[in-house]
Amino acid sequence: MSGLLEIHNLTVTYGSQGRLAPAVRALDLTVGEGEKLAIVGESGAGKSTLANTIMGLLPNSAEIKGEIFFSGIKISPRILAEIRGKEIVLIPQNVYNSLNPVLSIGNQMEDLLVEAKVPPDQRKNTILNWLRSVRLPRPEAIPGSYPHQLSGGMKQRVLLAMGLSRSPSLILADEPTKGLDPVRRMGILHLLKQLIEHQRQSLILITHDIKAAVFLSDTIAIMYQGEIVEIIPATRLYHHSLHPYTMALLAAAPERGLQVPCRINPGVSSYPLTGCSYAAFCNLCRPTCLQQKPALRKVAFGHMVRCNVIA
Amino acid sequence: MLEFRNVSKVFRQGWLKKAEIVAVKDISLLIKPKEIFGLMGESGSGKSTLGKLALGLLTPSAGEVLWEGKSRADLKSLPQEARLAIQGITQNPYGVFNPRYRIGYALAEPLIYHGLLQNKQERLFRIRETLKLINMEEDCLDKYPGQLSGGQVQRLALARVLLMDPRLIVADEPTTMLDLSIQAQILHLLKRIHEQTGAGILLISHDLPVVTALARRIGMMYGGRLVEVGTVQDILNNALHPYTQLFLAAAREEAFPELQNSSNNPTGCVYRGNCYRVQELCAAKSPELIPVGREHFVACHFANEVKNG
Amino acid sequence: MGSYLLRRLSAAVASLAGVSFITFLLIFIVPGDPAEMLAQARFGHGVGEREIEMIRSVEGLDQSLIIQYIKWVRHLLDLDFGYSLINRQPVLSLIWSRFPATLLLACSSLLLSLTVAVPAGIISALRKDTWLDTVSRLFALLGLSMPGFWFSYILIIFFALKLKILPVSGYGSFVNLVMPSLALGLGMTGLIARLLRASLLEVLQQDYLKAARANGIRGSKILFKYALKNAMIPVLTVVALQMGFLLSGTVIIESIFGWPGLGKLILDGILTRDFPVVQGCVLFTAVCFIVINTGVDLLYAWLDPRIRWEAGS
Repeated sequence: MSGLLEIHNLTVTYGSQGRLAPAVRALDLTVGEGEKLAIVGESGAGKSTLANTIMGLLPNSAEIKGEIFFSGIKISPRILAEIRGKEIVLIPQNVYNSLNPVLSIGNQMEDLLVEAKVPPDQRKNTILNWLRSVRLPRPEAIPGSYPHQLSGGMKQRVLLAMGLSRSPSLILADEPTKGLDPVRRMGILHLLKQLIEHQRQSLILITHDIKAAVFLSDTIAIMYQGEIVEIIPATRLYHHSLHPYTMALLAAAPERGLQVPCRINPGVSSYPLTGCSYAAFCNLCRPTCLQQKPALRKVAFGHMVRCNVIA
Repeated sequence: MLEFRNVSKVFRQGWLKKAEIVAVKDISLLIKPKEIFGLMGESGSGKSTLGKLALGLLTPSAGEVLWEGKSRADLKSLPQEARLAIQGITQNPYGVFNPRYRIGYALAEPLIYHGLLQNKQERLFRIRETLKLINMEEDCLDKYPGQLSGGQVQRLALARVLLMDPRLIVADEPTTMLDLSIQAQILHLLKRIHEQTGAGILLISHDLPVVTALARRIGMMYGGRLVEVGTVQDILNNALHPYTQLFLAAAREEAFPELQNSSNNPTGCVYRGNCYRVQELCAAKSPELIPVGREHFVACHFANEVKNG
Repeated sequence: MGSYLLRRLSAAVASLAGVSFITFLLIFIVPGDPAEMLAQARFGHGVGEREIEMIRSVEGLDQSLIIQYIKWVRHLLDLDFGYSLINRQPVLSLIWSRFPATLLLACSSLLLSLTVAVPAGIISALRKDTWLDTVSRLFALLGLSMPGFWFSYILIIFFALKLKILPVSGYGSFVNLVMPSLALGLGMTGLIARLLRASLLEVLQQDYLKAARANGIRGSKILFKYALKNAMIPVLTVVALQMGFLLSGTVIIESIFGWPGLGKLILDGILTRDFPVVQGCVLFTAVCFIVINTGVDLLYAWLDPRIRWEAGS
């Protein structure tokens, strides 16, 4: 199966010569045309690094190995500069600081139109249409205002409008629900779902919000310490997930038991160099797990698990 | 026992302090001894301001905050025990610790400052006991905050609070910055501390599962006002205020709300800009909290009508 | 915006009132009896008690301080700064005759340092931790730490004495302007370059730049439109303060190069105890500072809408 985005054997390391553990390790991932994939993991799992690698926004100190293909073309910095903001967009995580505070909203939106070579006389209308598409009340008042005059929810919608305006084929949404109360959270999730389904775009949702992942995506990839440990259809996550880490993550939610994961195998390092990276916390751990690195193996249709014991 | 008696807090801004922001408006609430009370609402609803008023970090613009029947307006005049009775933790535990001091010193400092345990051996003993309570190894005492994870630092912030032997802990979004597994850890810890020390907890959060996992009663805030108060069962099964109903439906992923209108209504009901029940009365008169059950109160003119069908 | 303007202007007026009072007190702080100084200036040395008392009552020096101050301010409002004790010329016309030279030197040195410092700061920030950055920072540090007078003499020795391509001192043509501008601009260049580097580095890390890049906005536009405007705000403060110093005349540099500016006027005034001149120069300097700073405050409001809004709401 050839996808819109294909990642082969990607390893990303910060700092020089592997002084630090890689943030992303030998990762393979395919996102099909119109597929909605959620990458779920806790802080430090490498999901933001993965998003920034795809967008080419990593600092120069990061060392990237592996290949990324977009629509069959291998991504290089030059190609990325062409497709960024047009074919691939990022909906940024930090709503409060992702708009330039000293430029008006209209000014910032117009810059996108300049990049898209929209003639000047059509720009004003296009901007208003974008703002309407994210259902901002009184859209005509927005272009003249500055970011500090808008509420957090309005800023998030402006960023969404800017991201989706040029009908990209792939959208990366970085933690769109972080820190939101239920009313705002559902508001933005519902809007995102409608916009994406309307245009049949592909989505990579980066989140730690499992419920948001189930709500928005078809497929969920669980990341742990830079690796994908399980890929599962969203509808099957709650009842059919198999990897011990996925199960622990689900059980930690207050409504699903509030269980605290603890170190089951005290002798094992929590960042092992060989073997399975979850060994220290795993209730299924066997001696082979400490030596042999498990591969991501298929267990059912659309369901893959990285475990020596289960798969 | 903590009591808010008609408490308001107004922030003034600008030249001549003309621009007013009403953060908390006319709140009366009683938090019982040893109770876990969950304060919920959207960001900007005034729930954090209410927490800061309880801690004495802010002084009310009107009304009174009372602890065991005594006003906390002049903290300095109170006996030390009453003064230290209310302690707090916040969503950013790193803010509690000076990054240049070792944890051991940061924990000992308030004990020294308040003259609680002057003997170094006693102090160390007490700190060790507290570390056991929060499940931390003693070697963390020699570390700096930057060397520890967010979950560990939050637990240590809790330890620092526990050393003051508080009767009420104000926990303002204690787990929003933390991962699910760490969140579970902190919530368990709060529960255990509550059981072992009998300290009450004012848990401020917009996360429904977090609050229902711990609290006995819930207060829902909107636009600086308390719009509904009740036991967890009252709220979950029988919410009567339209905002509480929307909040619950959204938390259960059953409602898909549009962007809400601002809650800045100087007169009348704060929620009328978004309310489906709105009538003329709502613009004229701000609803009081009216009883609809034994411990259940709703600030809506039509609460009884809705309740009775 | 209107309220912000009003607030800045009223602050400026208040500062002016304060400064004028302190300047007025100057003659009473200076050792010696002002009446005696005036009498000496008018009648020559060895004046008697009678002449001094006459001057005291004629000039109103026996009245209360407040009345004297009010009278003095009334004269100031008529643009009457008094007369020099030495050459009997009106102080204001003395200042006006010197000001063009100072202004010319100030502008040329500021222009010089901006043309060097702004590109240096930008390159330093963009190429952080490369050899370009190291070299640029080294020169900035050197410029900051080298005393102006010492650098002046180095310049004189090198360009005037060794190479003989520039005159040692003087005023009137372009060649005279080169060395004093270099000497004055050196420290400022280092300061601005360092400040711009730090400020730009901070702005470059902001999420809105990452978002702009992710939205496909091109590199040069991101730098000049999205980063530089934000980064210039702190730099502007320093430039304004520096401009204030430059306009008040730089005593040392002007003396070294025989530059006929305000600095030299004030120095001569102090040496000859010509207190109306000193008073006038100090007041003029203060006015320059206040005008520039008020101007910068207004510029801030243009650069940063948050300031406009905070005052407007």
